[in-house]
Amino acid sequence: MLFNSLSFFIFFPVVTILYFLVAHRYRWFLLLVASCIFYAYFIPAYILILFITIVIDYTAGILIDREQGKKRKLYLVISIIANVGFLAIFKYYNFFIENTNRFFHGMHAGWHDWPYLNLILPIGLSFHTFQSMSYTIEVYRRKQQPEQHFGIYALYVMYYPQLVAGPIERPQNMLHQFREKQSFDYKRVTDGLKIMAWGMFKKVVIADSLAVVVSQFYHAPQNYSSLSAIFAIICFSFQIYCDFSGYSDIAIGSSKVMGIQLMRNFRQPYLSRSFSEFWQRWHISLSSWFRDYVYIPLGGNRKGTFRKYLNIMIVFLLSGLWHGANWTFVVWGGLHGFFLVLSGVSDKKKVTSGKHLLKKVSSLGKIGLIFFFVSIAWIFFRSSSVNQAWHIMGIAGGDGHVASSLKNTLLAYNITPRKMLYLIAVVLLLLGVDLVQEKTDIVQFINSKPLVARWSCYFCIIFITIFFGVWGNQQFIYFQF
Amino acid sequence: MREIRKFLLRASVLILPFLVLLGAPFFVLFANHELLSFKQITAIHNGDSLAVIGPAYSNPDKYMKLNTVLNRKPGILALGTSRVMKIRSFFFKQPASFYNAGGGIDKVKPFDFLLKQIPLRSQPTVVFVGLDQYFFNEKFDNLSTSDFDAEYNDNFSLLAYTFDNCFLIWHQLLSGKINFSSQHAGNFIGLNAGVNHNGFLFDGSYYYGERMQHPEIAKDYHFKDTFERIEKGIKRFEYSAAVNQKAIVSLDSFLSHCAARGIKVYGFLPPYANSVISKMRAMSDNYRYIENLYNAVRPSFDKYAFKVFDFTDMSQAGIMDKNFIDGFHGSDKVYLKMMMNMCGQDTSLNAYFDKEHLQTLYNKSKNDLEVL
Repeated sequence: MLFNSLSFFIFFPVVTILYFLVAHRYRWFLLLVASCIFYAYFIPAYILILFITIVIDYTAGILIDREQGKKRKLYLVISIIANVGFLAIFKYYNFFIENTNRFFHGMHAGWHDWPYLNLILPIGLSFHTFQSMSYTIEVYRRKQQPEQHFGIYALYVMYYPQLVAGPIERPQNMLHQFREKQSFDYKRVTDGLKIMAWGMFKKVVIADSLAVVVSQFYHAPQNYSSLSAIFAIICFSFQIYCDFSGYSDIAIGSSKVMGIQLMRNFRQPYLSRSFSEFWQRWHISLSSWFRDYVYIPLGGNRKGTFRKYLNIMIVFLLSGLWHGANWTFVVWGGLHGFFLVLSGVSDKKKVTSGKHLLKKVSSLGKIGLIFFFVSIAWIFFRSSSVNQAWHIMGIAGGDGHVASSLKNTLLAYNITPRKMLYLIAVVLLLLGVDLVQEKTDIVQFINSKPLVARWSCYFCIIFITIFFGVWGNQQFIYFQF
Repeated sequence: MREIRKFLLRASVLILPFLVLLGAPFFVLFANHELLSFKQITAIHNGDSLAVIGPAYSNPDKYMKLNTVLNRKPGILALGTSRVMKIRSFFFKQPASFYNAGGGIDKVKPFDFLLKQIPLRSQPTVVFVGLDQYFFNEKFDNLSTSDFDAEYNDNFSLLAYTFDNCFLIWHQLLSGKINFSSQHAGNFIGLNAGVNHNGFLFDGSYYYGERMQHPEIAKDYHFKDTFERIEKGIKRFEYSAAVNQKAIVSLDSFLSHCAARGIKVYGFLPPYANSVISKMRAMSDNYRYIENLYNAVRPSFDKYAFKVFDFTDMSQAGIMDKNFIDGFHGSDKVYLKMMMNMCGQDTSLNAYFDKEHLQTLYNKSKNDLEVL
């Protein structure tokens, strides 16, 4: 079920009302059933995969806790192999086969292709697999008691707001919340709805409006000029941010309505002044997952500079691969790893002195520079192949036919000047909200305003979302992962 | 409990204006079968021979035409834009074997795409292809790649259609063009069918009810709109001197696939109203590509032993302005005349048409536009 669909507009209030109506001891069951319905809206059969991983990890958690020594490790390894196995089959098998076939074709002509599997990737597989793995790892590390209640554990994996695109939660944050009794709290409920409304605005008003430009360009980049290419590249930077952070906001908001706090997944990433800062602000739940379960176990920054940089590269290449079985994602991850290593080296020569104004200008320059490099990396993320990404970089760099004016760019995408102004206005609004969020929580900021200002703001957001949004069942980009 | 009451009260105040704003358009759309998915509309089109399919706020044409072809597996198919929609089933010897997929194509490239969607076992034996002149004008279509899978999908969204059309429906409600009561008396599906009596008939052809009943309120009355397009060089009347060779290559590819699959093709350049083509000729430099088009497409047809006919100007065939729906859409009578003309030029068409029957139909035409 998509958050921006009619089904969800019916599903969410019904589930929430029932949630507050039923007795506390049955709420886990209600949420579990609701989550099953939510997931079954995509491909019902794939709920079986979820069920199998839930059974394996639930059992593994209990066994890991019960056993001592090598057996504990064995159960952890079995659980991880099972989880990674599902990922390998559904997500990476065909990628592996394609590359193997290509490699051996190059070696000798008589190579018979290994067969491909005709499987559809279950929605959100990478997300719930990582969430399941964090449970068994935390139990193994004795930082989490194994969950004895099968239903509550199943709900931890399947909880509908974050089931298909995160945030990837930790058991310490989630499991206990399903047991806590939540009553109707006016402020919490309305704050949750406000977060949802802003998330919906980001998705249907900003992301999906920009998607029109981005899709046209990436479908046939050869038809566009340099200026048009740069415009589409910038549009995608904002599209993916609004699409994914919009999803996270709706997840966080809808969960907050029911009294369950999810972790923050984005913190104004395009206001970052360095790459390390960017990764503390972008998809926080995934980057912290890789930090805790890959980077630190590999030695983190404790084994010298070379190992530190090597570990960074490993983490980012894996992170790229996590996003998708395509070399474009690997290059995207590799680029970010490279940027981090490079900035790590140059950071040592950093000069911190300077006047206030100079600092501000330098800070603004850094923000622009990070946005520039992040946008370049997004080209690989969005392209269908590495070759296409190079081609697009060539066009953007001036290889394409040069646009004579901005007017031609607008014509190329069939955008009227009024529509262009509208796109600029909504992106500026996004940046404005992000700037406010740097200092204070936006919901608290709005709550502190006079009644008329507050309500005008609510009406405007809802009005623009309904009448200026793109409502055509557009999927969220991160669903494919 | 007090908190819940407070919440409900405030939420109602917030939501109520939007419910009022959206409620009326939603009701109008729902009551007039405008909120049917393309799949549902196609099912009605295939299941009810009396249904007139004319939604005003959605465009299911591509999905409906493609899926009807797949469902009915017609032996004789008409392919093209709205400019083939007036080929009627009763022109043919075997009306039931014909389906008009006019409106399923809007450029030259989709011809090949649509053909590829039809499995070999259910392919037609003969296809009448309308080659709209502007397909071959680079200013109209530069033949960049398109996402045809998405274009021919059921991309209906109830939220999108309600939200996007809200203000337009209010405007039409307040101006009295439509009202709250259901307009779908009989088998009219959609407001365009209900109010204007415009829509697709069972054989896939199109009925222009509004033009028949109230020609004076039509947008193109006395070809005003078409002349304006010609003067401005816009909306299918863009100026161009040369025929787009990329479009010829694309057409050739389609014809070669038809030949390979054993499908016979009859192509035609559809007619313009006499005064429209005269006006275009008066600006000959601007529309030189149209004058050269027949000779540009013919070699491809000859190569695969297919036939192509030029009906760009039908004034010599006794057709007059009054026989046109608008500046570039002929009526039943024009298309009947075209078929008669084609049969006269190519005897192989006698397998599908009875010349005497066509002549009788023409002689007994109901009026300047309608045959039956």
